[in-house]
Order: sequence, then structure tokens, then C-alpha cells
Amino acid sequence: MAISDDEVTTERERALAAARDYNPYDVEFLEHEFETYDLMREHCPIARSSQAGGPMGAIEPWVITSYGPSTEFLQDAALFSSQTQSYPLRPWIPQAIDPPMHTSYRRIMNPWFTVDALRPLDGHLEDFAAELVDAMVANDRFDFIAGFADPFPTKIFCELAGFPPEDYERIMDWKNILMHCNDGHGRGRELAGALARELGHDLPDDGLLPPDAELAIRAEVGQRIYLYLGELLAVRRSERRDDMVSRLLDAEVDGRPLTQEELEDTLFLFFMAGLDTVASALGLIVEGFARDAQKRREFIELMEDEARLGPAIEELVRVHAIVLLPRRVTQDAEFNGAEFAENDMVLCPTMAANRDADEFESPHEIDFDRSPNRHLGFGLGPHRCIGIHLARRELKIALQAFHRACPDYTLDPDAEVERFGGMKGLASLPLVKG
Amino acid sequence: MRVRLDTERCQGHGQCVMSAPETFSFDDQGFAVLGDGEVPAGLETQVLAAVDRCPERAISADKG
Repeated sequence: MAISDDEVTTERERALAAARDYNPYDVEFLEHEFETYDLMREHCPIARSSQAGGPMGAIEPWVITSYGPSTEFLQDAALFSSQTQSYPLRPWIPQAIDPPMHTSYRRIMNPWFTVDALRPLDGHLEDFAAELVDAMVANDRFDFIAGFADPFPTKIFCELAGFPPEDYERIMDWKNILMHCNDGHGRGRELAGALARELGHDLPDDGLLPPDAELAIRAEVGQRIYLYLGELLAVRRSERRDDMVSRLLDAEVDGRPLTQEELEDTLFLFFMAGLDTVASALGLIVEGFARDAQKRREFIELMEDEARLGPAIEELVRVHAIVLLPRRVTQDAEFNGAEFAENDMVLCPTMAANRDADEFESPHEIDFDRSPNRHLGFGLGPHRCIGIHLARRELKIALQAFHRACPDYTLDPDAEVERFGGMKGLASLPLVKG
Repeated sequence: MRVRLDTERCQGHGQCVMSAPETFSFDDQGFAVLGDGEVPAGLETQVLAAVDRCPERAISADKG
């Protein structure tokens, strides 16, 4: 290296090394997550990683950390396919399907998730949130994840979808194995390890599951979930209810009913997408408020004002974005200076784009009145989160209910926050009142 | 002022309906709907906010 004293060169080398070693599933990465994204964005906003793996299965992906190219990437479904071949057994509908078929599937489900369709749910959301909060804050110390962030959105989603409430524990365990076997999530790792041994794999007591064991448990759990969904469909086939399983049975795509495989693949996605996302966002938001009492007070002051609450929720989703979006390149192409080859994988960590100073002034600051706030926390383009309005309502109602009952809290000094990477979030958030 | 909505780009984030509810509404699929595009006096600020806030950049306005 000729210019060894050139600081910019050194910084650039650090950035390229960070991109090469990029592994968002590693909990240690999260300790310096935003500094790393800032460094990569400044020196190599589209960079090649040499890492493989994680539940999204992107092998040696390109990583986009700047906002503008991220929006182009997510809006261009022709160049960037969602058929990434990293699903257990079969791709999920409509997440892993490209337009035009994707559009046909979304047309079935879009009406179930509109603002008008969800409005009648508000009273139920409010009652359930208050009930969970009351039980949780009856104690001075509590785990916000076990007491609220996990059960609130998850049980609501199970009700909407039509998964029987008595199956909640089983459903959460399957989800934890499938989504969190290798990302620092204690319960996910423990369950996945036990299952891998059951399937005859030798494992270290801790550390990562070997790739062959991970593949085996993902296939096994995938199969169990498909079996479960098949049985649920059979039950609803003989007797419809007011839920999404029943509505899917009566739905048509391009003038014909959905096949058994299409029904199962759609419900599989519901299963995964409805269980983790709002829970993770809630955990990270409340953790942030536990660490920053000033911001928490600011939020509590505005939260009864619907006109200010909407933008405040958007800002919290921007700052605490959790989603990594993978795509497969469909043909050789030059993209914002990078040379993509057909079948290359590309990852868009929305948390990186959401902190690009070229789009968001003082990107690391929470500004509850930020406008415009064109964040990517709900994705962008044809695969935009179908549950966007449900998520917004749940976040509003949850944060109101919790802070009405418990306006003052801190992290429990005697317990650890348990964090997981990838589609990141918290497995536990021990808090103390006061 | 006139406003235009590119329905090919709209993905139903709903920012326009929240910003300018008298100008934008949702269809039964959850995508934005715009009337004749004429913005009555007094609503310009709201509509410009909707233009600004659309994450898909699906809305544009011109004065005159």
C-alpha cells in the first residue's frame, strides 16, 4: 500500500474489511452496528461480503448501506428477484414470489389488511394490551418481552389468522427454531440444538450450529409446520370461521381456488411474518426508552395526541428497523457503480438505509416530528409489508397502554438484556419500575 | 395547484392519506386514490406534505 499514512485509505480499508466480515447474525456485531454501517456507507455503500448463512441464506451477498440505491433496489423486482431459494422446503407466498404472480396473491390478502378492515379491531387491541400490562406491572421487576412484547402481537395475529390459542407455545417454539437457531437467541439455540441431536447430529454445547445440522433442523421443523397447517386447513375446510385460514380457502387466484400447496405456503409466511416483527420492534423501542428517560418523557407527552403519535411511531420504526431484505440478481447488471452478476445475492439492511445522513438529517437522533420521513422500516416496492397498518395500530396501542401504566422504568441492573441478531430483536428485556 | 399520483409506483404506505385526507383516500386494496387532481385553495400545504412524505415518490405536484 503506497500511501500508508493516508487516513482516508486506512478508513476505506477498515470499511472494506467490515463489509467482507459482515455478519449481522453475530450478536457482537450489534455492539457497533451503526458505526459499522456508517463506515461502510461512507467508503463502500455497495460492498461484497464473504460471509454466508443465517436464516435468509444469502451466500457472499452484496450489502447496500446507502438510502438511494436501497430504494432503487427494493422497487426493481425485475432485476432483483425474491425467489432466493433459501426457504425451508418450499418458498413462502407471496414473499418469495415475483410479480406478476405476486400481484395476484397480494390482491387476495390486501383487503384484509387495510385501515378500514382493521379499524373494528381497535377495541380488542386496547383491552388485550391493558390486560397484559396490568398483569405485568403488578410486579416491580418484570421482563417486558415475556410479559408483553411477545404475547401481544403474536396472540393477536394467531386470532386473526385462525391459529388456535392453545397452540401458542408450540407455534412460538417452531418459530424460534426456524428464525433464531443461530443468532444469539437462547431459547431458539437450545430448542434447535435438542432437535439436531434428536436427528443424530453431534453438536458442540454452545456456539453455532454446524451448517448441515442447521439445514436438517430447518427441514424437519418446516415439515412439522406444513403438517400442522395441513391439519388446520382440513379442520377449516369442514367448518369455516371468521379468520384468514377460512378466507384463504374461499379465495381465488386468477379465477381458480388456491391449491393445497399454495394454501400451506401462504399460511407458512403468515406464521413467520406475524410472529416476530412487532414483538422485536416493541422490545427495541422500550429498551431505547429505558436507556433514555428524556426521550421517553418526550414520547409520553405527545402520545395522547393522535396527530403527533402517527409521525412519532414512524420515527421509532425508522430508528429501530429490524428487517434485512435479501434478493437474487436476475441478470448481469451495473448497479450504482457495482458489477452484479446473475444469481448474486444482495442484502438491504433497512436499518442502514434508515440512518443515511443524505436522506435523514441527524440520522442517529430521534426526532418525533421528523418530516418527511421516508424510512424503509416497512420495506418498499411491491413487497412492502402487508401488515403495515396492523403494525402501526399495534405499536401505538401497545406503547400507550404500557406508558400509561408504567411511565417510569429503567433496565434491571441485576439482569441481562438478551439480544439476537439478523432480523434482530430482544429475547428478554428485564426492567425495574421507578 | 394540480397533483398527480403514479398508481404504478404507489404501494399503499398511506402517508398521503395521513397527510392530506381530503385529497387522498384508499381503495379496497389499500392503494391511494386521488380525485380530479385539482387542489382547492387552503389544502396546498397538506398536499405538498403528501408529495414529500411518499416513500415510493409516487406523487408530484405543479403550481399553476
